[in-house]
Amino acid sequence: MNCDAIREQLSAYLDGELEAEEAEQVREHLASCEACRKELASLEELTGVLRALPRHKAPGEIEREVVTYIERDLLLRAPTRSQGWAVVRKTLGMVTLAAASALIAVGVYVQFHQGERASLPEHGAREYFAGKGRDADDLGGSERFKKGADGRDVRRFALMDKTDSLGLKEGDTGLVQSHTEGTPRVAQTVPEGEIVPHAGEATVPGPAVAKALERPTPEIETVVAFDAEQSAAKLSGDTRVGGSQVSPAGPEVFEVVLAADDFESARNRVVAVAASLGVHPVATERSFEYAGKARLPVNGRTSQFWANSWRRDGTIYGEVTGQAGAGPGGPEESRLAAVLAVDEHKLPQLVARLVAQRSRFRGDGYAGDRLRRRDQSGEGEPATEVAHVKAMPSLRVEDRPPDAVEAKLAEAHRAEDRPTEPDESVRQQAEVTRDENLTRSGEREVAPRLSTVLPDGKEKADELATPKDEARQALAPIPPKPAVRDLKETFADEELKQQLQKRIQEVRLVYVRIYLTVPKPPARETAPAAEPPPATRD
Amino acid sequence: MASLEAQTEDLRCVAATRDGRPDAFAGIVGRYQDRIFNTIYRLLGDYQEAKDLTQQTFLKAYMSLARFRGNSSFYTWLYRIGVNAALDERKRRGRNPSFLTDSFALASAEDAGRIRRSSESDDPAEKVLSREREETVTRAIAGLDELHRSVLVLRDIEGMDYEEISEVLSCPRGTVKSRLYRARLALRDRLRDLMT
Repeated sequence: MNCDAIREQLSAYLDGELEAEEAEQVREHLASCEACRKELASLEELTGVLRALPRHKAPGEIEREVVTYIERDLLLRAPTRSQGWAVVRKTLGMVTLAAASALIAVGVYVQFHQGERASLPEHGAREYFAGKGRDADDLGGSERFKKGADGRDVRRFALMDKTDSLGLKEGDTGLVQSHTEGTPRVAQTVPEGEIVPHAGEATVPGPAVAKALERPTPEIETVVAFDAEQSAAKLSGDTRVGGSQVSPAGPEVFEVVLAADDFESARNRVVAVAASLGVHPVATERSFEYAGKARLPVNGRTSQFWANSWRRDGTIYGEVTGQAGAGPGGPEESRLAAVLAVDEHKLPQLVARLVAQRSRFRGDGYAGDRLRRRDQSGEGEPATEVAHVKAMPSLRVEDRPPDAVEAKLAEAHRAEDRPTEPDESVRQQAEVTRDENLTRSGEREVAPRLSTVLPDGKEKADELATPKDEARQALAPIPPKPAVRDLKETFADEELKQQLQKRIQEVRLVYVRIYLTVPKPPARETAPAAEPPPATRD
Repeated sequence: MASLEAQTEDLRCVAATRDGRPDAFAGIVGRYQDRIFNTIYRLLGDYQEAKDLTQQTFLKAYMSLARFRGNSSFYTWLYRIGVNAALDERKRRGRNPSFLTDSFALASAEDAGRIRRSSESDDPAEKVLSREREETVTRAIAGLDELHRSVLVLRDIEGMDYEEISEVLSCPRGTVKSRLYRARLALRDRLRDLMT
């Protein structure tokens, strides 16, 4: 072989990747050819240089973020694949806004859900089903579901905790539409009530709904079954507050109401602020596939309701929100902008950042923000969280003193960089908002000014409106959440390992619904619903 | 490169992850993140981008786990995802070539601190020298065309054998061999000043 042919082989020869026979030929040639030996030496030097390059370690947050994503994915994933019947479950009662009008918020989750029917509770008082048409047929033999456990028509959903349920009779339609293929199903019309249909198809409450809505609004004091002070303490980071009233198996739902000039841009900011904490929306207003809006008289006042649904991983979720006594002429309207699933330990930070962003949402010094907590504090009733959330054994919010395990974890956690490493999040955020100053200011000026609504409806105005230092102090005792990383590193001790695994499973997630209150010029009031939302979001 | 034991452990983690245990996937991430990150960093020369793409690689692997059939070893499958992600990113940047050099310079400056910290040497002059040297080599690698670069990084930096490289790049072993040869010649040309 000549030198050219040999040189082509030298590279593979160097790597020991030649067949024995070829290698032998090269060896023989090298023994007699000085030039080719030099060539080989030169290649060796080159590979030596490359091997000597320092190896870069992956930034620590990669693993954490990937695992967080996966946990969230598992949490949000639909339990089964096929499409089917919608289970509407009520999540909660009502809340107050301190100012002029009482605000009723009703949450209804709609979940297309099969396969777990057998595991649904049989007592029907809190379990509701919505849907009709083909879906009804899908029920097949599950007669008890069609009938509901108490034998009543299943097509109904609850309006308020411990109060009314709205009976939707055959031919009626709920505010929540069930649809399986992305197309809103047909709804019915009712004479009363002003309806702003969306996407060409109207969803209008039937007479039964309207009638139910006319029933007296229950006393707020009896409905809001949470301790506002405790709630506020929790929101401000003091987790030592004991005696959570939340039903043990249900995730807490918090609401944050922010004032905004422009809904769209404020929503983007909310998403960006959340992203800066590694919190990603379960849904945002942008992803709502269907939005119906109804205006109905309640107690002589006009109330508005919005129905939204969004799709995620093949599961459809829906929510109805309403605002009582905020009809035409009302100065503002609150609309659900995003639903976030947040690690409990991030909640105070999230709230603080959102509130710190207030001036970005609306002119400085505006004190109209409110934090509301929704919970599921029904007495003696099992939790009514969405079924697949129930599959996580751990959505438990309980307050207990830190034990040895936690202390150790906290130590391990402190040793690491904190979960909210800003650089990545700031970058993400910049993509959303093109405004990096947003979080930066949020991080610096953590000064929550929370107005808390007490059960008696009085506003505990700005008691938490603290100067910066106090705010930091309030935010200080956030216990670190056990991270999978920590778990791995602490795995030497078998007993500790088991304890930790158990603890890890207790993912403390809470839902946060972000409402944005925007000024409502009369001419614009139908505009939001008439505007077709993008079909999907990702 | 990966022992049979490591491969078995990978498959165990894959199975556990499919059963819905995210901590098992954390094992995979922990085992491979440095290698994947380093590979992507060497392919792109951009620290921040490498970080994002490494993360994306694992998320993509997680989401595609159902499609992993076990025909190749898990880690070459993972590498394939990572390398493809990096090459796609390069293509995207190719449409905007100035972006590459800019971010490259930026990355080098940013990384200076990290590299200096990780350097073993105590002699400050040597540190700077080795850092400059590294920068030169890194630039030279980044200047290769993508086919050459990927095969070179996988072999001379990641230490894979030809069989593994052919799995990662989905090309015949003979192609790996000839590409690597040309890649080394091309790189040597670019590093002529550096080498004695």
